[in-house]
Amino acid sequence: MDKSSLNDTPYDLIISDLDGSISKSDKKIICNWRSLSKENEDIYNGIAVVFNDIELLPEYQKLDTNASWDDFRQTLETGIQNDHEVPAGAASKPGNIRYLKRYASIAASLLLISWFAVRFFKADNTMRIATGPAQHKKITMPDGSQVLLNQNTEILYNKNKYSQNRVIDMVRGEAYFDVIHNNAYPFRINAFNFQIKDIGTSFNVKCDGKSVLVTVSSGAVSLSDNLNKHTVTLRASQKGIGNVTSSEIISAANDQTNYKAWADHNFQFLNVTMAEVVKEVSEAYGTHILMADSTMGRKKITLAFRNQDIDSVMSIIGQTMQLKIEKKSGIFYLEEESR
Amino acid sequence: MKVELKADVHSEISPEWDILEKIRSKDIVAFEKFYKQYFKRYYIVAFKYTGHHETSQEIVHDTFLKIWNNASVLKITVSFESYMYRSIINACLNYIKKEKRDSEQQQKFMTEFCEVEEADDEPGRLENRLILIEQALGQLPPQCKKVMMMSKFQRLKQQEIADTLGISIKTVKNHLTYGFKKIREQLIDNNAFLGFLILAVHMGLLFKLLS
Repeated sequence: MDKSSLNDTPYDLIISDLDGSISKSDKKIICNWRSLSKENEDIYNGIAVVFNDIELLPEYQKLDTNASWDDFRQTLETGIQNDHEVPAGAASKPGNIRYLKRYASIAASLLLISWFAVRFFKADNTMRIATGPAQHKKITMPDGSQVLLNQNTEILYNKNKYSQNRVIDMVRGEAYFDVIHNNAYPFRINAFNFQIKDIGTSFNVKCDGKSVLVTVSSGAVSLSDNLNKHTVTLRASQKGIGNVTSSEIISAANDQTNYKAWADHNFQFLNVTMAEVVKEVSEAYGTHILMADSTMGRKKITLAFRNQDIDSVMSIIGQTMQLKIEKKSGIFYLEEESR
Repeated sequence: MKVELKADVHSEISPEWDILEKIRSKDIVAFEKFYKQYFKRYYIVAFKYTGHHETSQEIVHDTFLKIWNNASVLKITVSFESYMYRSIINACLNYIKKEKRDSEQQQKFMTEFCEVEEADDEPGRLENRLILIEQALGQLPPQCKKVMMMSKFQRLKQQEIADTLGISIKTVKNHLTYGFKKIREQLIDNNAFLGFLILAVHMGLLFKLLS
């Protein structure tokens, strides 16, 4: 388990041997390596176990023991009934009673089936997930994709259909999507009159009622309007803006470095006015920051933060700009330091 | 919660015989508890071999149902766990024989099961490993975790992962190397710890007997 064993063990060859993509010459190398020592063979087998087991993990994670029990309970109950219905001497019963029983049981099962059918179709399988002010929520979807909701955000998806269609309706707010790509089931988001389709992996979506803003972190997404008149493919560090009233889409290079700071609290300010910094920081942390006078807001600042809490961020701003920071009931007050 | 599960997965020492007694007397509460404790691990074993959700659920439910209905006449000569495991494996075998649609999978299953006489507590071990793998996966750096998931959950080829994420195939290989290495190490660490625990319990018993 020391650092050097990472260099000695041909992990990448083991992995390509296990996934079957290994070349003939590499196969020889790996066979030789395995025969060198028992330790090598153990490593190989250990990786093989992980390699095979990990495939079962999504299925394991999907299991809902309580729901399965409810399901099983139904079978159990009909099973118990059957036991009582067919006692040892059943065959000697008069025919008409037996027919009566049979019809009764058919009728009962039809009733049961229709009850299930009604329950199944009527059931509201829509999942609604919403956040309030100053609230974030991280959701792992059934396919392993992750959605991080900013404050005042609402999304909907169908619990039963999600694994087949992977559609999320975005009602309002802002969310960061980290999507596990799957060609067979593309991941789609409906936001007002626009549709966002994942081609790559992670991106931010912001709906403010007037526009739908999509900013791509890695990979690519397509943004199109409902009628599919316009479609724009956005790649990493590009943004697309859909105008909710006109259905128009424009794309541009992303100029907002901190577009997902609300999600990861990573900021980069390059010669930016204090007013802008205060606006972005307060939005990302959901806090109020007040400046004592307006001249302060025009000063420029260059700073970067990596996932720090709001108190440290504020104290660093204070030190750099030589400001006095006071926190009263959750609100930060910035004042010029009197000397 | 996960810690409890871990302990529970390896509770071979506790006798399962009184649960059979309770099932015989049609104690549905005890049966529910029994079901909920074991459902996942037997399901995942069935799924490993059939690769089919409905079939796996059906096989496991049939096995549970048989126990419930036949508890009074059931003679279990091996441990309860072995009995369950063997019943499920047999059901899977029958299913695969009947289906024969995927002869390759059948071949794989036959050889795997015949050659490697797996320990009868394999379902519990497998479940334990899955829980540990889940934990270890969660501790990987985000990009590494993503590559692992794309490779194993989405079954994407290394080149496809590289293209999708816009990284080099070398980086993909590095992520996979790191991921598999870390997860395996975590499994080993945990096994060593469990071995120690079992040893400690046994020593305790021995001490009690001697005193």
